[in-house]
Amino acid sequence: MKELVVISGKGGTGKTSITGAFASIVKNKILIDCDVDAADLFLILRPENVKKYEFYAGQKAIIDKTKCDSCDKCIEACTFHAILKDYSILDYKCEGCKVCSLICPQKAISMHDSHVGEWYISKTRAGTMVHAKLGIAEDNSGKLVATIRSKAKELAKEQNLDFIITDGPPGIGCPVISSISGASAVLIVTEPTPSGIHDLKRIYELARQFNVKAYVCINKFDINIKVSSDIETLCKENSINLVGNIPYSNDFNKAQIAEKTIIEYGNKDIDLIINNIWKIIKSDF
Amino acid sequence: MKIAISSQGKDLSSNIDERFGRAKIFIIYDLDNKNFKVIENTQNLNAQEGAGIQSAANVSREGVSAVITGNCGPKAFKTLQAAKVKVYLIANKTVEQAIEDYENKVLKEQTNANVEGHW
Amino acid sequence: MKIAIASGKGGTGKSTVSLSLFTLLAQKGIKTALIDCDVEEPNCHLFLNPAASMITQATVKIPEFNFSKCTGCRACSDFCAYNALAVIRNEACAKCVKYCTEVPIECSGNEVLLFKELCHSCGGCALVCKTKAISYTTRSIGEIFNERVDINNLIQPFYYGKLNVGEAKSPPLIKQVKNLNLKNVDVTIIDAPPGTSCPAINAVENCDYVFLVTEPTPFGLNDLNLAVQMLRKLKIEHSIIINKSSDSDYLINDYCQKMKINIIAKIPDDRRIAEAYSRGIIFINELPEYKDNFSLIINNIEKRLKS
Repeated sequence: MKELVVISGKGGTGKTSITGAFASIVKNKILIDCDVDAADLFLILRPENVKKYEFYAGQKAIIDKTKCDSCDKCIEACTFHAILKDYSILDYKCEGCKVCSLICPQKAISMHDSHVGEWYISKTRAGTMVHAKLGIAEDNSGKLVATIRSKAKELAKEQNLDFIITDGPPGIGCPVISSISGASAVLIVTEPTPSGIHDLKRIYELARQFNVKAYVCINKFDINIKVSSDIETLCKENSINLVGNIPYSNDFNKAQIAEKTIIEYGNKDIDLIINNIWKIIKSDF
Repeated sequence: MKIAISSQGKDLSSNIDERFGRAKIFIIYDLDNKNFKVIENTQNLNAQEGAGIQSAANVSREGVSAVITGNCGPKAFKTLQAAKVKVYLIANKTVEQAIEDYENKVLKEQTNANVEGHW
Repeated sequence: MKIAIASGKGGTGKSTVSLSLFTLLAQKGIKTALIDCDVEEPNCHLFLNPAASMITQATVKIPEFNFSKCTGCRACSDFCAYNALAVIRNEACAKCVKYCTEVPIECSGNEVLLFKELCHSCGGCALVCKTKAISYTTRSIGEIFNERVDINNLIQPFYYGKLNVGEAKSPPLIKQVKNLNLKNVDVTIIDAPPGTSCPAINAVENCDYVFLVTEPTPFGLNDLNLAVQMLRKLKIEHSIIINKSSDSDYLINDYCQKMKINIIAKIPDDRRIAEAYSRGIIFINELPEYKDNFSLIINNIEKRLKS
C-alpha cells in the first residue's frame, strides 16, 4: 500500500484540483483530505453516507466566577493572554497548559476536554474519503490530521486497497508535517512565480527533513515560461524528479463549478498530462 | 533481569499489543524469578502527542533492560535509548511466545525507531 | 491603525493586495508599514527592494534542568499537558556524571528529557518543581527581518518573519513579528497567512479592520465563508475584495448579499496581472489603470484615520 500526499508550500497552486484528478484516475484507492482548516475536496466529490465522529484534543480552562476573588494571578501567569479582565477565557487562545488552574489560590479554575472539530468517513463516486473539519479558530490541526490518516490506513488495509491519495494543506507547519510523515511520497505542486520557487524550496526541504520522497509538477506553467524553465533547472541541479507541466486553463474553475474533477470535465491535454504524472509516480514509488 | 512487553491482556497468553505508546498494558517479566507484574498504561489512551514518551518513561522506571513491542516511534525510541533500555520488535505473537523468542535470542535489537512519530 | 489582509483559501491574492495597498498609501503620503505574517511561506519580500535590512533570531523559551537538584519526582512530566518531558532513571547518566565531577554533589541518577518540539513554553514545569531544578533558556524558531524599502522613492518600513523549516508552530513567531515597535506609522498593513486556524487568528487579532480576499470559485466561496465565521467570532469588522473577478462573481455576490457583507473592491481576471506577478512586479506599478480599483479601500482607510 502506497500513500501519495499532494502538497505545495504556497497556497493556491492547484493541490485540490490535482488531487481531484487523481481521484478519477487512480483505481483501488482511498482518499484523504488533510486540509482540515479549509477542506475543499468535498465540493467536487460530493460525499454521501457520511459517518461523523467528534474530535477532542487538549483542554480549555474555565473559571468559576463565584469562587474567584479577582486576585489576577491567573491573568499574570497566562503565557497565551487567554484570560480577559472579566475572568472569562478566550477559548481560541487557551492552549490548555493548566498553569492558571495550578496557581489559583481559590481553586476556581478547572480544565475541560476541548471539542476541536469533527471528522468523517464518506462514500464518493471516486471511492471512500476520510475528511475533517477543524472548528473555527481552533488549534490541534496536527492531531486531527494524524487521526484521519491513521483511520484511512486502517480502512485501506481492511478493504485491500493499493493506494492512499491525500490532499495536503498549504504551508510548512504542524498540519503539513502531520500530513507527510510516513508517507510513501509527496507531489509538490508549484507555479512559475517568485513565490512559487521560494516556497518550493522550503516545502522540498521539509520533505527532505522528514525523509519523504518528493516529486514536483509545475501548474499553470505557461504563465511564465522563463520561470518554469528556472524551476526545471532547479530540479535538475538538485536531482528532484519533475514529473509534469500543466498549462493554465479556465477549465479547472469550470470543472469546479460543475462539481466535476478536471478529468470528468474533459480537457484532452490536461487529461494526458495528469495521467502521465500518475504513470510516472506509480511505477517509481 | 526484567523485560517489558506491550500486551493486550493481563496474562502471558495474551496477544502482544502492536502499539507501544498507546498499549493498554505492559507486562513486566522477571527473567530470573520467572514471575511477572502487570502495569496499566491507560493514562495514554486519550493522550495527545507524546504518548510513546510517557510509556517509555513508565517502563524505564520499572527497571527493565529491554522492551518487546510491535512498533516504536522516534520519540519513544529516544526516551528508551536515554534510559538504556533495548528495543525488540515482534508481530502476531502472545506475550509468552515473545518472552521465549527473546530468551532464545531470536529477536534482533533495534537501532532506530521503525515507524514515524505522529500526534 | 492596523489593517489585515486575509483569506480562507490560499493563493487568492493576499500578498498582491497587501503590496498594492502598501504602495498606494505610501504614494498618498500616508506613513505605512507592511508586516508579512505568513511566516511559513513569506512572499512580500520577493517584490520589494530593501535599502536596509536587519535580521534577528526569533526565540521561544524552553526549560533546562539542574540534575544535581532533580529528585526524579516526576512532578514536571506529570504536569506537562503536552508530554514534552520524560523523567527516566539512568544509573549511568552521562550528564549527571559530568556534573558530579565538577561539583561534588551526590547525583540522584535521574534525567529529564525535553522534547522541544512539543513544548508550549507555558512555564508550568518550573512552577511545580519543588527543588528549583528547572530554569529557562531559549531556542530559535525562525528569523525576523526588519527592512526599509524603497516605494517610488519613499522609504517605508517592512517586516517579515521566516519560520525555520521543520518547526511545527508558527504562532509564536507571528506574535513576535506583529509586536515590533512601530513609531511614526499611521497605517500598518498585515499580510496574513491563509486559513482560519491559529496562524491566521494570530495575524488578524487586535486589528482594526480586515479585508478578505477571495476568488469567484466554489473553493473560494467555501473558504471565504470559513474566514467570515472566524472574523465574526473575533468580532473584527471586515469587507470583501474579489480578485480574479469574472462572470462567476455571482457566487460571491449572492453570498455577500445573504450575509450582509460589503464587497469593497474587485480586481479583474486579467492575465497581465498574473504575468506581472510571475515576474516579481507589483501589478499596479505596471498597470496603473488598476489603481482605481483600490479607491474605495483607500477612502475607507483615510476616513478611519481621520476619525
